[in-house]
Amino acid sequence: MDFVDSDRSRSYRGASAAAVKPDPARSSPPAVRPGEDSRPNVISAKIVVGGGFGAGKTTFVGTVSEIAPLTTEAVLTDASTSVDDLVATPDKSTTTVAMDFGRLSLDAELILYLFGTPGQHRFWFMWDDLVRGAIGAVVLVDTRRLADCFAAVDFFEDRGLPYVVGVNCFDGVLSHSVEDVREALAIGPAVPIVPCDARERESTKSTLIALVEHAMRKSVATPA
Amino acid sequence: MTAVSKPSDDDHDESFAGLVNGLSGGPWRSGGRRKRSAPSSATPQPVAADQLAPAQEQTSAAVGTFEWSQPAAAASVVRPYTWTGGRTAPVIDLAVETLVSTSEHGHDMAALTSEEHRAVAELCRGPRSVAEVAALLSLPLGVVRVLLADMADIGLVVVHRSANGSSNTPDIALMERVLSGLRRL
Repeated sequence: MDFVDSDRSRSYRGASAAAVKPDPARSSPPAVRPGEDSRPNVISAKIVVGGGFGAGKTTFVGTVSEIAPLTTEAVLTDASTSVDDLVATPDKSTTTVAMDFGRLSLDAELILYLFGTPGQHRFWFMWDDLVRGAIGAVVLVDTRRLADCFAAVDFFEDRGLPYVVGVNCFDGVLSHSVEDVREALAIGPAVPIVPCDARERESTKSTLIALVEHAMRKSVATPA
Repeated sequence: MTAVSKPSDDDHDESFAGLVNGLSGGPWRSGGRRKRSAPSSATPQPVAADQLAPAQEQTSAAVGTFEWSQPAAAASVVRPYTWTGGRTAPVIDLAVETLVSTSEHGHDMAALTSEEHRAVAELCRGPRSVAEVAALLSLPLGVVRVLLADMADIGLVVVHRSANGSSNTPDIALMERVLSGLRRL
């Protein structure tokens, strides 16, 4: 076993060494050799789904995703241990940040990924990674716990990422008027606030459509 | 004193191994064993080794706790990166949604020299995002990024072009495509 292991390790290390040596052809990776790019016309787009814990992010993603939402993890390195509260879990030496995501094939060559943001604010380093290249974000709001989404709103505002607010109406009831929510969240009039039932496919679809339309308006208004 | 320190060392050894082997849900547990013999040139390694050695010399109970926490933390943090030879930065930039698929070269079983490469090649017969590869292989994102970047570098996987071009925001044409796609759903 050890022998096999070291052997494997060596071959892998060999690959790494090859990867590390300076390679002038790096800028045009061997990935695009002729004959290999029939499928690579498939491209992806990304929408981020934010909101407080329990606001329905995972439900939202699951409702429209063509696959059961997957979870990917990033292991927090020691950079985070100073902020990670280990008092409650003294045996815990690492923290993993879980991100739920789903996938939607929009046409033969376009896949849309929906990423739920990791709940806690202290994982903002992952949010940066998530919002890079995203079309925009849906912030899900539970009107019973409005404050939970402040962090997400602040973050997307700060990064200039187009976002819409989906006011999650549980049991189909919107308990607060849209304008009340706008005022409570201190959101400008340009940001769409839409009622949204994360469990309803049509509802999540129209929330996503509202976001993309908003992102397009914003993109036209402020050309990059 | 030595009677106290001896079992503590054993305990520590067990916990160390347990952490190293048990941390990942991934199917390649044996990767953890490699870590112990990993060359000290692997970046995070020397720190753990240095701290371990003096800790073993000391026999006081107070140092015992240090011994518990320090190497354990180091082991659990470092462990997934044994996959990547200790490297944490991929050679190319891969976003979570970046698509990769197995190249023709990657379909050639002989080209796949490691278990990890075979697993990825198998998984990416159709286009998969970096996040999907990480989720389906139960590996942390950072590890998968390094792995995929290496595989792209030696031509085993194709990294699909980004729809964003050079800028960090998607272009209007892509948004139009997404919009009409969503409306068709």
